[in-house]
Amino acid sequence: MKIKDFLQENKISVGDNAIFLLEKLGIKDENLIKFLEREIGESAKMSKSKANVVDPEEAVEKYGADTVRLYILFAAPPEQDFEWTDEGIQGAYRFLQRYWNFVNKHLEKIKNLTYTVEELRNVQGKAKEVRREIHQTIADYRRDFEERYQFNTAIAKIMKLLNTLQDFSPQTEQDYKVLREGIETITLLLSPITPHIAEEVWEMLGNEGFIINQPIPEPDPEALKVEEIEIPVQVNGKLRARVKVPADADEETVKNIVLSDERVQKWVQGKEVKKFIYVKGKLVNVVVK
Amino acid sequence: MMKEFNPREIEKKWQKRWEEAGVFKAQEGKPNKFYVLEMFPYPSGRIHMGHVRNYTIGDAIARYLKMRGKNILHPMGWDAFGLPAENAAIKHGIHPAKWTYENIDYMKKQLKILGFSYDWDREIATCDPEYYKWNQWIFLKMLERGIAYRKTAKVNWCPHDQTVLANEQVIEGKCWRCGTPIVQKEVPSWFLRITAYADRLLEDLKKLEGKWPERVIAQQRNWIGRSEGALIRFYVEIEEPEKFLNCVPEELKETLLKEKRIYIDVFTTRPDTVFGATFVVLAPEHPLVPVLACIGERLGNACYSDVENFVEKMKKMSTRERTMEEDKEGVFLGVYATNPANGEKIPVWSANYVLYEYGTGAIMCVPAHDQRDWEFAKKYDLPIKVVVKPEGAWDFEKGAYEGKGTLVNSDGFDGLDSETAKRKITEWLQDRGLGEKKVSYRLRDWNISRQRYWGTPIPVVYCEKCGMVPVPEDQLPVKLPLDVKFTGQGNPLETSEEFVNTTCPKCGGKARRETDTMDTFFDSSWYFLRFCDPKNDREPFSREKVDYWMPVDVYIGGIEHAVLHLLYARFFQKFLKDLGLVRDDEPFEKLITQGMVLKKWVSVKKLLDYLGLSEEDEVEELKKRLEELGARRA
Repeated sequence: MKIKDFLQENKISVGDNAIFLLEKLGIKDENLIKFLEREIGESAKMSKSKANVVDPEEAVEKYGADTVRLYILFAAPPEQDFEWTDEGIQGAYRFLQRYWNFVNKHLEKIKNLTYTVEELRNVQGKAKEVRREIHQTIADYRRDFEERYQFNTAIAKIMKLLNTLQDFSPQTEQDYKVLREGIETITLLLSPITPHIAEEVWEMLGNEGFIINQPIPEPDPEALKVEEIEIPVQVNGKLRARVKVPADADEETVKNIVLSDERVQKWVQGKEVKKFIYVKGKLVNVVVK
Repeated sequence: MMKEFNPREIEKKWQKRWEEAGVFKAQEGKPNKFYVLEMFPYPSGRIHMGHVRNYTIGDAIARYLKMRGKNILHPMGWDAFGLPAENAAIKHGIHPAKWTYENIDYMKKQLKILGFSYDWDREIATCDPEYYKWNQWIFLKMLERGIAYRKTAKVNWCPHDQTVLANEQVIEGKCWRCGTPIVQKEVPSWFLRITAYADRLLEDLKKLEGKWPERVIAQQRNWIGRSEGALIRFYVEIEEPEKFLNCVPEELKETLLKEKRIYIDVFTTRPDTVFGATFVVLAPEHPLVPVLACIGERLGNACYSDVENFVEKMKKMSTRERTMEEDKEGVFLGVYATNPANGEKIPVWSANYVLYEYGTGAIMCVPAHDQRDWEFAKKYDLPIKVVVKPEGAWDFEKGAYEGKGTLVNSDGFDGLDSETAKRKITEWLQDRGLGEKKVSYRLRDWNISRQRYWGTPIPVVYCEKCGMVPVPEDQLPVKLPLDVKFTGQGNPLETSEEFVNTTCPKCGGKARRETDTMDTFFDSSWYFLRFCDPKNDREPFSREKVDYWMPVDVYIGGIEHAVLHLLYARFFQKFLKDLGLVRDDEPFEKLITQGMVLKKWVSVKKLLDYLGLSEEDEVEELKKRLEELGARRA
């Protein structure tokens, strides 16, 4: 039988979705369909006529409302079109699962911890860095929400903060307090986006009342402060200046600061910088010719 | 033992708790109000991903701002009147009311499982008599103030849906709902005089700059389409008028005999070029076309049958088709008009590129300075006369010069710049009774009559003695009857004897009810106000509550509403302000137009092309290749 006649017999037009044809041919290969969509698919507004619709109810049934909401807000800024993909929705689901498991993993340690801002301001080292990121995330998130309704970038920052918390291996009680602050922050910031899981975690953490009745956290200006250190700068082996740089700055940042410093300029101007060595937190050596 | 992530369980638990605790109930009084609104849906049956995106954006904003200490109003309701319900009735025999309310129930459940923070106590459905009563009330206020009026007019008619459509609902010459090409038809209809608000609608767009997407503002500005210019009168002198009495309608006869002339008014934005007008063109639908063609002895004359044929052909085309037609086409009507500036006799034509809806439906043609006129003049060999000298060189053989310059060949106005000439020539014509300054708009009055059942009945009756009589306010709502027949032909409301036959509120005599219902865009033009006070049974809403909640601080919806709903809502807000019912000029402070949700798909054609097959190939071959491809992918 010719393809033409087969299509006619099954009331399929060449403009219809090929899924109908595959179905009639008895081919039920999800991977093949996905491959074809990836290779030769066209992106179009979801519509019944193109049979490229994702039913919201089914999506909620499968992944939950929080995942659907998170994915929709994360996929693009509100004004832009976005293409719904299985990978995308699964990514959103995995993030929530990771967050859920992470909270549960540390729940016992942090459940009954209480802390004050004053005491957290005194933490040092890694905990201090984590704290800075927590408060930087709050500040960025609020700006994204209030000035631009850019939920996608706000969500990206929450995800980054979760990564940081996962990399942080808390040892002391102080560390766990910072961890709790971090988890509470993520939970509060997720609340407008994924409200159910946020309420549940909020309750698990031992808090009373609805999270929706809590205020969005304020960034702590103390935590946002960048710590600076003074570094001796040698030019061709001779000490020429002491320059202030952020404690955690990388070599590129330090190089920019040091080479544009007036006192260093005097010695390097018009010369070629052959070498720039930064011993983190200790010393800068510039070799010029 | 680590607790499993079970979203559905968590979600049900918290949705129940929020509801029990009434967390999202909005209450007036506290400072820092914030009104978040998403465009309410039509209850089509199920929500789609576009809805979910719209409401998720709104919900994130509402919840965030609640956590920032704002007193939030975040309501939801149903834009529940409309054609699909009636189509379902015709197709499946289910009553539109039943179909609609069942859909609402189902979709409400769907919205609830998404956990949106709505105050469901404020839910409204526009098909509830408690809501549409106030549509009727607002309509009566509009009638009182001359904003609503009835006239027989050429309307956009959808032959499939058998109803009138607003200009805004004709997309590319087709019905916005079913895609059937629209035709022009004369139908007595109810109009809203939105044009009376044209200037305010335009002026207040400035207040929205930086808060609404630029694209939406630009579309509205363009839709209102204000242009400044002049109305100029061209007379067609008729030597022996008694010979042509059979050509003119009754009301023109006396003037024709007395004055021996008929006039054509044209609107132009370039009165400075009037000395260069070398012909006049009327739109094919212009009522003077048959009159002038008759006087020009072009009607009923076998030699000139092209006039009739041309007009008939044009009337069948939609406005959109006509404007898209590149090729200029026209016919000479056999008469000459006098150019009011220089007294020259210039031919009168009818052509496809002049639209009856714009300006006066007639134009003076200045081929030297208007490209479309130039193309027409070239095609039909009409004179091209330069009256504006460009700064540099210009080859008028290659096209029209549309820019500004210095006037030439314009008698006493030579040497003036275009801008000054516009003013001076208009004044000069005005002094001689041949013209006047005029502002023209593209915006038309809004035809709200729909010959359908599932909408708000227009609350007037027609009495044999008293004529059209508004239904008194204390008799509202005029309820939709339930005993109607849905055949798919005509207006079902006409089949309800009980509804149609009534008594006149004025004289008590026999009367018939209006069977037109309102365009559903009427319903959605003020629903955001009703959400502020949804249960009020004494008035559409209390001033106090509306003053507290309005304006809507963030409004979220699709870009497709840029000129439909968003223009109508602004118009209603202004009308209601004139009634003293609201305080603000503009209803929506900030507008977010969300993008679409797309998904990849593969058409049968694409698949065949990819596999290098054609429809003529064998199915077995197709199956084989697909299986091979599948195996390689596995």
